[in-house]
Amino acid sequence: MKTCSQTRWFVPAHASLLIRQWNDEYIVHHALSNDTHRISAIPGELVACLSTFGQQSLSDLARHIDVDEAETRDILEALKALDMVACR
Amino acid sequence: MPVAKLGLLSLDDLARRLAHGLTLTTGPFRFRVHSRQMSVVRGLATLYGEFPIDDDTGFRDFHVRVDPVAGPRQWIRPQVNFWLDGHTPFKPLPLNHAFALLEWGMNWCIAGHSHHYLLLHAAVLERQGRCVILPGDPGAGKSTLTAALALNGWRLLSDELTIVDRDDGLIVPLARPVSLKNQSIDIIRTFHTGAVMGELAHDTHKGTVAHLRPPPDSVSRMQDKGRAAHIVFPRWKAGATTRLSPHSKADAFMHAANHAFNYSMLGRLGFELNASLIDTCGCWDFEYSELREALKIFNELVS
Repeated sequence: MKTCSQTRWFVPAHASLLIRQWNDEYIVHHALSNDTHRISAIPGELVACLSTFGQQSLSDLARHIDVDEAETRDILEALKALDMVACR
Repeated sequence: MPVAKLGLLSLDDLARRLAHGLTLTTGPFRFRVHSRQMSVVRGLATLYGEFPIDDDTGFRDFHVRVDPVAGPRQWIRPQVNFWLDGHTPFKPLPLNHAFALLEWGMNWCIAGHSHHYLLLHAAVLERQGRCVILPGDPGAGKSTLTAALALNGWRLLSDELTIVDRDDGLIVPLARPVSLKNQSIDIIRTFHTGAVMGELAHDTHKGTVAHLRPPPDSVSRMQDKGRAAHIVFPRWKAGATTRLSPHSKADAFMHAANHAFNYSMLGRLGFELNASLIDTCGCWDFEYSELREALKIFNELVS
């Protein structure tokens, strides 16, 4: 069984996200569902980071957005519920 | 037959042509309009005089008809209906709504079928080569403001439909009449004595409705696409001080998407077109109570 630090987060290929940022808000389009989401700065940064740089560990992502790992995981789980990110 | 203006036909000639079908061009669309209803003849004569009519051949985007329904409703509380390609998408309406029904039907044809464009529910006008898009919830004063701007030197591209070309992101004009409702009709009549309006349609689902003739210059330029510069969310409020303030771009995106006729249908292309529009445009909230003040601010916005 993988530990938290080994878990890799990524944007699933089928999501094929389109992302735009205006000030501290993000608009994200999910290709498979054809849904458009308006999300705030921190979740937006996470999605943009994963979309740009590919898969990342929880600790790398937490460092990137300067938020502790527990909170980062909560945000990622919320994004996962929308199928914007996945982990393995 | 060479291209001519509808206004060059006498009322009798127009009635004869409409009885067999008249091809009317509005922006990129060719409508074949068929009607034996005199209120439709008068409405077209009053409001579409500057529009080109050409020969009744070639491809027409929409074949539409407004005529009385068959059966007892020809005589008892007479009703009219709207046909598109022989089908009746709406329930019949009272006879005196005939011209309004044609206008609503034409809007419906474009909004429901023209998916080679991104179609936003918003008015759009241009001055100094810069288009201002006016989305607006019902009652926000969008059509009143649109009419006032069109009557004061702004080019009217559309009152109801902002049509975005998917190839170049430019705004495609329609230059059709502005639909005014209830108090707005008298406000605009008082505001500009040169305003030409069609007959009143009372007791429609929107209240009393009248259409304002588009400016001749807007009609003559209805093949010239425009470039979007601003998106302004108007809100009329009695006694309010005229105020223009920044509107969140993300919110403007979502508003445009939620009020578009085919954003979802276009998928990723809809997102890209809408995002480009938001990137390009300044986004503003606009509160007003006085039309003169509103015009001043709008003129400054594009100067």
